[in-house]
Amino acid sequence: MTMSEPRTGSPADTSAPPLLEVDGLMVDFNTDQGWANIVDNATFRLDRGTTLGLVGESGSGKSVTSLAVMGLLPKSVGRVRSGSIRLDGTELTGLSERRMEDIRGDTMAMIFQEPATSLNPAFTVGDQIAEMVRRHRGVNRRLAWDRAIEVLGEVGIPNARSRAKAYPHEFSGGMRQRVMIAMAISCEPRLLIADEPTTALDVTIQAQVLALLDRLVRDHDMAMLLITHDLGVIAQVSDEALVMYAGQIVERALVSELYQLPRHPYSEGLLVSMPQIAPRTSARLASIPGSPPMPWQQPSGCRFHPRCPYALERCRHDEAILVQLSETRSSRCLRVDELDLGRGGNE
Amino acid sequence: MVKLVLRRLSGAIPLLFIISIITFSLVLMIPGDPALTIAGDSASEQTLAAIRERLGENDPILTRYFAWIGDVLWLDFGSSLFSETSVTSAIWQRLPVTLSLAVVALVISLLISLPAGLIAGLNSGTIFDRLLTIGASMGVAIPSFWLGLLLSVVFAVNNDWLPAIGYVSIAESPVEWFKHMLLPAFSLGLASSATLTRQLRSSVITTMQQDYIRTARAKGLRGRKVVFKHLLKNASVPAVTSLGLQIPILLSGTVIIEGLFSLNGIGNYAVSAVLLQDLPVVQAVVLLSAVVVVVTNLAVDISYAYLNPKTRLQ
Ligand SMILES: Nc1ncnc2c1ncn2[C@@H]1O[C@H](COP(=O)(O)OP(=O)(O)O)[C@@H](O)[C@H]1O
Ligand code: SF4
Ligand SMILES: [Mg+2]
Repeated sequence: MTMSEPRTGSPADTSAPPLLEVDGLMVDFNTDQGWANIVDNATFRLDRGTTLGLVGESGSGKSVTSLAVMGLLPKSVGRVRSGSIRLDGTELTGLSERRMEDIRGDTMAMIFQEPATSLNPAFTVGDQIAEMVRRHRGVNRRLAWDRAIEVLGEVGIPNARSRAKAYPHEFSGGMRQRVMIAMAISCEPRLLIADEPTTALDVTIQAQVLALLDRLVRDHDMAMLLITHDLGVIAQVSDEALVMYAGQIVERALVSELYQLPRHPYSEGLLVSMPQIAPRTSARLASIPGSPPMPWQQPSGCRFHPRCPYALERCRHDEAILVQLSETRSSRCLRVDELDLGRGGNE
Repeated sequence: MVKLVLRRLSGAIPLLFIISIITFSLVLMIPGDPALTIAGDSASEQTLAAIRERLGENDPILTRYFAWIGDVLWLDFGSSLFSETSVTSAIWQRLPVTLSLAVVALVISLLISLPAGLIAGLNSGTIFDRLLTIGASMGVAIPSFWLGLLLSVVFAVNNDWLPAIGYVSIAESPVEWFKHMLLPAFSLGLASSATLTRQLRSSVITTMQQDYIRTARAKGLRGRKVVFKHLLKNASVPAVTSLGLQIPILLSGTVIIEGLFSLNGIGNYAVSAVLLQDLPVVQAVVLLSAVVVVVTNLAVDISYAYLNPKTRLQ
């Protein structure tokens, strides 16, 4: 494996067909209050070998977006109303469950937030990896087991050969997440979706796991959709970022651009509330006042207006649409041209 | 795993010892004089004294306990106060009847509850689930003797489809054996199957919501693999507990069902022994039932260790 060069902040050649192309994705959920729209018109693309960060407060629809891509929305509760999800040229919406099963774990794989509950307590970790290898590679048990040991070693599990026979409860939180990562890469997927992969981990372990993900993505030339509520995480590993609020993408930018100059008040708020030096789990230095709306009571006009320091009367009525500002940037703000955003009055 | 089995087994020994003491103490608890029971009211004092001497009633209680338990360890439960026949051989004769009844009832209840619980749990909230849940509630509520009567009337009295009474040994004719077992075993097993269905349904629903099921699906495993491997092994933990509780319930249920269907099993034997105050027989049946319960609990414990590796710790 050759190491790709360090991230320069420019996405791959945009003329090549993207690995993942999501277009106008609408996802509805059956909540206590009836059917509610959870993801509203999500459109984005992820190029081969690049990392896209999806950031936003808890409840903004990040996990639901990724589960829709994986075809793992909870049945009878969540459904894709419309839109298209193309992976490597294959349209995933409307695909049969059997075809989705062939693609899941093979072309795309996913890591979840809670390593403690995401592994089956009743089977050894080696078994849980090997069964996936057998499923997609069609190899015999021996070869699948060898592959399990190989990936466990690759993610930094010491004594992988004997640890493969251990059960999940015999690992620490960080090691369990490494096991999840080993499982996800075991069939060499083109797309890796990591949903808050470090949120449940100790601060010291978070950095190690992020570094591991970053290394694996480069070594195997995978594309990664990295979901987090923490802009600091995005800064470490992503090329490009999508900022999501109340089910909508409100800003799209290269990570370097976003840090220098946010073009949406919500992004600015996230940047300001990001601890600069203190560890990420320490109390927020400042945060955006108020809380995100419930899916069944989205505000009219711009969904961010009740919390936006720059809101004007028209923000309450006029629908804000995602406007492309440059090749790499879009913003969903009615006042994008008037505002001089920065890092919260620091300049 | 082997260590665990050995540890649990050795843990059961003191328990069995205590049970044997309690069983033996029935001697002290049952009212009446065994000698009088045997010889009848008109017997002379000498006759009674002779019988008491033969039964060892004059010995100190501890001596009598050790004599009894010594025999019991060699599966010798003494002889019936009335017929002089060996209790062990009488039980041995009747065991196949009761065992057939309990096992067939258990198999029937598993054959009903496994698919029903699984299907209801996987399709919770659908019409099918609702119907099954209503059926299960009714199944739990129907008394076995009432169901037995009803089935006899429909299948044996009004129609000539199945025999309503008697037992045919499996060695003699497997088909007849099965025909004779069907009505009593179904009457006995239906309530258990309803309980197990409800238990399995709710543990399937809870397990389906676990993160590791989502992981299994994210890996692209086939739906049946997710259900039969990842779901079932976890969902069966509470169901196995419930199953362990059903076994003593089934066994005690045989008493009523054997009476109803004229099956000459251990249940019938026990009932007549209690009515006649035939103490050695009562002691043997009580002790055997206790052993069955202890062994069942042991099996449940051991299957936990298999199903849930976390419990293998310590
Ligand atoms: N299983 C579910 N049932 C009902 N509503 C759900 C479910 N999962 C998520 N939601 C709703 O979808 C919205 C977005 O959730 P999610 O995508 O998990 O947010 P995020 O990952 O950004 O924190 C939330 O408002 C939540 O209420
Ligand atoms: S449209 Fe108005 S309310 Fe919405 S983010 Fe822009 S300024 Fe704030
Ligand atoms: Mg989430």
